[in-house]
Amino acid sequence: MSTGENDSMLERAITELQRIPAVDPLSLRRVIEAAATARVTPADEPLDEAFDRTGRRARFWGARGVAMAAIAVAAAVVGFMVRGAYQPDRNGVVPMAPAAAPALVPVTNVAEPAVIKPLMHQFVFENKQARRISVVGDFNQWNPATAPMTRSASGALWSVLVPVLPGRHVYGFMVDDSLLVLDPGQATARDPDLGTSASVVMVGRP
Amino acid sequence: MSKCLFAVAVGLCLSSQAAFGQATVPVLAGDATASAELAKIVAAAESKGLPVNPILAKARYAIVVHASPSRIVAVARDIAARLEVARDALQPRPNPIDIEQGEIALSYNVPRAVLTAMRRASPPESSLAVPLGALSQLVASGVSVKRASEIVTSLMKHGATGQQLASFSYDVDADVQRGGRPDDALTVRMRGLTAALAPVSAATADAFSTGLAAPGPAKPKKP
Repeated sequence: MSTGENDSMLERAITELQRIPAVDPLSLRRVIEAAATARVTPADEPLDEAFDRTGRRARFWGARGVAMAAIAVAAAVVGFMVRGAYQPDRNGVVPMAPAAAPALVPVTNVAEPAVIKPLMHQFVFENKQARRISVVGDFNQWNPATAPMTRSASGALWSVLVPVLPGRHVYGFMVDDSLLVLDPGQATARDPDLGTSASVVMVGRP
Repeated sequence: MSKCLFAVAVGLCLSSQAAFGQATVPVLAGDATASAELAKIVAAAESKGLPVNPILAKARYAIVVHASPSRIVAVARDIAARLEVARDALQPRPNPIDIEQGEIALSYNVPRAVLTAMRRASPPESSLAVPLGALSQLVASGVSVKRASEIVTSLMKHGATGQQLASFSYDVDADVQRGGRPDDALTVRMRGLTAALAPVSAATADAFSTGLAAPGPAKPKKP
């Protein structure tokens, strides 16, 4: 076989090999659709299946999640009980609706209240006939139970020391749990909202 | 892990206490609707980060003086609104006590701008509780808002202590109770406090004003 014959045979072989056989377009489309259906991205994967695939992780969140939830509920209940938020009040007050929980709202423009401390202030009142006297004011929300006064040895003077925050406060004396009396030795002021009068105490840091 | 759970438990315990710490709203006898409305006002104020003690205290006081439930609710709403104004007027970081005292001042028709001016006239971290209280008491005694605001701001700038401001407002009120005119009482007591704040200069000025001291010898004229 001469060199020229070899060349022509080689060219024919190359030509045959380069020819692409015809592909059935229907078959080609079926293959593409099957591949698209089988493909699953992480976002498409159902959560349950993902946790099933990583069984260890699923077990972790299952057991500890339940434990943490139980502790959270128990802690909240303990918080309520310690504070007494659900206890009925003897003085005619009711607990506020839990739906109004305020601590969930971040307060960024009010300073911490711990900066200012109350100062002890002595209230003195003279009354010989009373059986029981309390000082009531905005500093104790007009609750007679919080500041009962002590009678002096002579029986005429009643006094009590009450922690009061600096500033202006209004108050009075509750005599025998029924009569509100103003302090005769102190300034009085008319309440701008209700039009009634109350004694005034100014508590100032020296 | 157990430490983490313990911390979570303690945190939740404390936060639940904090959330419901002041959560006692007076019952308005015989009016469930008004009671609910009052609770709603308190809750709304609390959710805004406002101190609710003034609302609760005024509601209880109103009960003591036999105000009607509808009146109590209206007053509570007014106080909540004033607390918000006071908080905004006393920025950048007012403490709850200042807000409460600012609310009282607003209730005596002190303008919001005065609160802001007082805040600017004092160091940012210092409390305005006593100056605001003194201002309220002066206005309650009958001193005009403008004059009382000027005087209190001036005294603050000159370093009057809380105790001095408290005594000052007491003294003015006592003078008024004895029959003095409020602005006269203010002027007289102001003179006394000024003397205490700056003994030498004020005493000298007072002596001149009453004719007890004569001006110093005249300087010889230069040729």
